[in-house]
Amino acid sequence: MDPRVEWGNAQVSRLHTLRSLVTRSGLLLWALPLALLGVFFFYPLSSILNVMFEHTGSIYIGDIWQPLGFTIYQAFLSTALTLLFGLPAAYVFSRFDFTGKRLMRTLTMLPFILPTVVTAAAFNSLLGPRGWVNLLLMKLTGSPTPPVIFLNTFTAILVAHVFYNIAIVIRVVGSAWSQLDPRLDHSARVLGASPWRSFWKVTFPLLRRPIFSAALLVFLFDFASFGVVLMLGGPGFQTLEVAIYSQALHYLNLPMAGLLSLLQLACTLLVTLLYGRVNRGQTIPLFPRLRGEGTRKPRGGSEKGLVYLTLTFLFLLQVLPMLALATRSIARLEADRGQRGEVQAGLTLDYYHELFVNRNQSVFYVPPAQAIGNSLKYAAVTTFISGVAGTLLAYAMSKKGAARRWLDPLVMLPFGASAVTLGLGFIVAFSGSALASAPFPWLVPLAHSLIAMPFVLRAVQPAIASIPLSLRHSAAVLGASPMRVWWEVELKLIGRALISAALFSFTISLGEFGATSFIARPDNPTLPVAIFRYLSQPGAMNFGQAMAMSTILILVCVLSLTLLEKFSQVMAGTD
Amino acid sequence: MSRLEVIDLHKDYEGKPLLNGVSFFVDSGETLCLLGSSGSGKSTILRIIAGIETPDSGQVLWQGKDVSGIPVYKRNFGLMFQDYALFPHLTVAENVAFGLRMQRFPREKIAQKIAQALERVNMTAFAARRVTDLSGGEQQRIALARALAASPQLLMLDEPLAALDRGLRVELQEELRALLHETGIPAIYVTHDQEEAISLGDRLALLHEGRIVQCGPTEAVYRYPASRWVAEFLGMTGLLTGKVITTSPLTVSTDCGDLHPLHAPGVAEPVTGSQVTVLIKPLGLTQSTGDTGVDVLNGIVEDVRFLGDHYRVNIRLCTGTIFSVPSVAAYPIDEPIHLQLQPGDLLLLPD
Repeated sequence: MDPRVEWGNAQVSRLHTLRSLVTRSGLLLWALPLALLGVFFFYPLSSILNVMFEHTGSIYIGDIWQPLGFTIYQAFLSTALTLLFGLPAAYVFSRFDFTGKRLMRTLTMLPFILPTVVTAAAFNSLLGPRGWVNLLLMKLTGSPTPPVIFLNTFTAILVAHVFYNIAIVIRVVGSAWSQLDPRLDHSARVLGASPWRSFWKVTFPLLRRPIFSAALLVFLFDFASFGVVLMLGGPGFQTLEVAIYSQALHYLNLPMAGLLSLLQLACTLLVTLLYGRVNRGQTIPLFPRLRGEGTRKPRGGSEKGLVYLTLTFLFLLQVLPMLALATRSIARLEADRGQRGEVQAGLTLDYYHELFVNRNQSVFYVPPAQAIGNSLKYAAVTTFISGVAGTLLAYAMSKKGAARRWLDPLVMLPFGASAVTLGLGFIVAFSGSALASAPFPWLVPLAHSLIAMPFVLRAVQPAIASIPLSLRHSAAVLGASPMRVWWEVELKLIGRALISAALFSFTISLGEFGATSFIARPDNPTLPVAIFRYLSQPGAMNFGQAMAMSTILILVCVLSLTLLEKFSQVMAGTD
Repeated sequence: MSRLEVIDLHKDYEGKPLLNGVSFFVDSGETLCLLGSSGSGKSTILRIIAGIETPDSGQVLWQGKDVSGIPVYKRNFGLMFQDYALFPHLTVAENVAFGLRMQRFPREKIAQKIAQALERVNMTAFAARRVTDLSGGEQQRIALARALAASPQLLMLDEPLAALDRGLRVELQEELRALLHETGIPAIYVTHDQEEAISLGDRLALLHEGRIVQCGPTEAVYRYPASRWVAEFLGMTGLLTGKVITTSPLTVSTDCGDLHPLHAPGVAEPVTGSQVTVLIKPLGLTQSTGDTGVDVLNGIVEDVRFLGDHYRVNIRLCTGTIFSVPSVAAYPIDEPIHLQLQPGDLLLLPD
């Protein structure tokens, strides 16, 4: 052989080895996600630390006990209530067939992706001073003041938490319950156990793990609750998250906010680790399929009663506020500011029209429609960034290797951080930077991307793992280059998961409030920020517009959830 | 004439040697059956040939040229996977078209080749079906059609029938044999099932402890197993250990008497006093008149099975060794039998 050719071949094969070394360890796959996390999580985190240590004088250790105590207290109570109401519902969904079951299941999932501002708006429209219940009671009793006081109470926080998290109990415990062989219970009964005894001795021990893991997840969400406490609890209640927010934005005490956010991060990590231990060796899918086996129509009065009671409860808790919101957005019931005399009550689309009008006395200098435009733009960018970075990360994490052992926790840490911590980190690290003053407000979609990435990861990772190695190999043997194997085979097979991931990212970004409330520019509000400000303004027109914008968000969420369910069903159908 | 040659392949798996110097070749027009127990590295050899894995050392030569610099997707070798690896997102026709598309065949040509490939496996009516709706046997046929569609230079089949039930396996075995001979492409067929190997392979290569322990025409391998392991792996059970008393005539003393086994060609000369194995492999059953005589084995009839045109008689020797002999007549069970062996019924195996 010509020595030059031989030398060339040697170079080619050396290049080959180098490339396979890089791809095998997955370093290239890690690069982008790690860079993203490094710049937009670890750097802000270190900036928070920096601010804390430079200004230790403004830290009052005594001020952390009250919010910490309340956070734990309300999280425990909320979790207990969620289990109390969720377990019977999980039983009903896992054991009985009834009309409207699928619709009801989808509806119970809705809060899961519903922005907190919308929840606040929904409960406001039902039980707030301008809500349906109070307006009705005022009309009936002739009372000049709203008789039901719901907003700014502890009850409101608890109800909203149950509203949000009951779906977790229904899904996690329900899917485990539906996979339990009903004959276990039957045989216990045949052996002479009473239904109650059979539940405690047979069913409950088998469900202990899913119940505990659902409880931990619910606790985690309640612990990190921000929007609900801020908007429904009012000034009287402070969780750690709300305390971070008010320290940072009201008292401008960044070191104190930093300390609180580190505390928050530590607690979250602790619960996350515990959750990981409980679920070691098994993953609970975000959208597990409830199987049809083992379900039947309810028989007898007590079973039917239980089903109706559960459905009524879920309707009152989860559907009614949404309906109240939607109807309130098209109903004129009270006088506008400056309007006198009897109001012409009736249906109206004024609140929707008004979204496109720029008024001097409005909360912003821009029409609310622009907030919708901003949100859509941010959501699109977020979907792209989190989709690309999350998919790369999913690929990186699907590779085995020594690198994973120390890279995995590096990834899980940012995913344990709360939105508010992220927001705080962003303002500490980037305020005054070129990124913050760039013509396009990159910080908002970047923060959203970090929040959405775990969801992308959870959607895409199982899809990647489910592709048999032999499919990749057989495509290669048939003549497909590595790029084409990915394009022709892998992309097609993870396509549905990618669509789910994109829907998640898009919806999360649209509704994100915690981080956005820190970093959105005043002249460039997002939809949730606009709703929040309109809700806290007086006047029927502001209230109506908040309702209108919230209704738009609900519709987007319903649409996205329907698509999600559809895709997860198609996926479950093909494998 | 195309020839694939594998030379001295070595490959470690999790620190232990899996392949320890594997060499063999395949020529066009023949099927080489690579036979070995599961976990012996058979599939790894195929993956190395295909280019999916790289050997620690050793060479794969195609037409005398080393292919190590050629990536998988440019080798144009067909490989049919054990689980078929059909693409679940594509239809039957699209699966078959995959390789043709990758190799940039013109559109009309692809349609024509799909039709041809499906016809060859009698699956024409299934073209528009989803592969996930097919039965195991149908999937197997499509996988074969896909592997053959782009006219690969070499076809490798990794236990293609292992996942199917027995009836289907026998039927497809016949189809496969006809197809392999029809195409004339050199083929390597990997299996752990010796029956499959006999019916499909023109030549057998037996893989044991990382080496090819015997390679040759199927019949020759059956007639003259090169070692005790090969005989046992091929399902031969009439094995007696003994000691060489004299070398001419070759006489081995065993617990069941002195025997005069044949010394297979190519096997090292036995040494007097050495420990050896004698393989009892009679082609037919002849009764001796008495219980003594040259090469007479005394045993008990353990079982008799009627197989249509002949019987199979299982005989238990004093050592407990059981082996089966084809016979034209049936014998009473549990009765003693005196078996007269012919020269050639006994084979000396080196240990």
